[in-house]
Amino acid sequence: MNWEDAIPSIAAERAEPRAEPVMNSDEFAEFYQRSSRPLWAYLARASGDATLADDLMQESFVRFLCADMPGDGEIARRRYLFRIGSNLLHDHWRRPRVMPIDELPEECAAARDASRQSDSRLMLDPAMAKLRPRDRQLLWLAHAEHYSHREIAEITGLAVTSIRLLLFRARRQMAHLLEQKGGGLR
Amino acid sequence: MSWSGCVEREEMRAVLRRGQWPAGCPAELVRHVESCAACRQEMLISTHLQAERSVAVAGAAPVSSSLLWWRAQARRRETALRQAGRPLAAAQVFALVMMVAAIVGWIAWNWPAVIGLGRGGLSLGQMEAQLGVVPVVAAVALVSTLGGVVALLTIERQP
Repeated sequence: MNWEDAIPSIAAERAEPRAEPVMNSDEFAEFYQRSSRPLWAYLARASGDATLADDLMQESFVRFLCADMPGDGEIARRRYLFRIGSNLLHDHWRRPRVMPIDELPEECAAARDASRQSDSRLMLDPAMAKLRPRDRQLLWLAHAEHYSHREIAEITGLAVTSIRLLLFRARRQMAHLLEQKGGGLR
Repeated sequence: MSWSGCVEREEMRAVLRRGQWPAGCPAELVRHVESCAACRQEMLISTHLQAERSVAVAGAAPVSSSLLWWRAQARRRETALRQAGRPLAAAQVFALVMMVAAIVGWIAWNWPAVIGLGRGGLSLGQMEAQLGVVPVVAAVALVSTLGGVVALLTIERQP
């Protein structure tokens, strides 16, 4: 069984939009201000495509506003937003590609990304590129966003016990790749 | 190295979350990280990914929130309209089914006459004598109803 098949149907995000928004426009503007950049960073690094991250981030927020949100509060809302983004990313990976990402011109991804030349990226990019999309996703959620295994399970739809094992393997592979590139502990 | 991790992991994660590695970190934790393969690995990845996150967050250029707010409102309106049209479509389907059922029922009820008409053994005069004007009325009703349904469906599908 493919790992994507383990993710339950994206029922919440595909449900019909509700009649009333979950928050008013001012509340949304504040929430957007706080959440849009971290969500974009996650989508961009998990997908490796800044343009795709733009599209998915916008769609994530639109679906977020139309959906029935489980729970309340900033943390739950942000987690739910990441879940929508993850599901959209997952849908994108499942769709047949019109053009492989490798064939896209480099400037598509680089134009918006001023961080291209940072030291960290010079080591991280090749290592991230060698990981499977799911591993990039899990590592980012665990180590960049500091989500717990339970929260990652909620976002990705995988089982908590699977998260632990998958993260262990992804971490081991990532550490190996980073050490090969000379990216030791700072 | 165990996949379940190290007992010091939570403390190490807390230090990382607070941004205290390595300067604000207790010396014994630093020593532990240097000697523990699991913690060293986790620290290595976390420091790289957090540096990467800071750069990516700073480099993001999200569109205006009001644009997304407007798009969500438009989608909600569109969905509300679609939902409002559902009972009408259901009524149309129900009417069509009832009409077909009535025709099938009528044919079954008058099966001998219909068979006779099919074999050419029944003249129109005989048929009228047996069935009256019912077939003519039924045919006109059927054509009118189906015509109305087709017209409505055509209008609905036009952009």
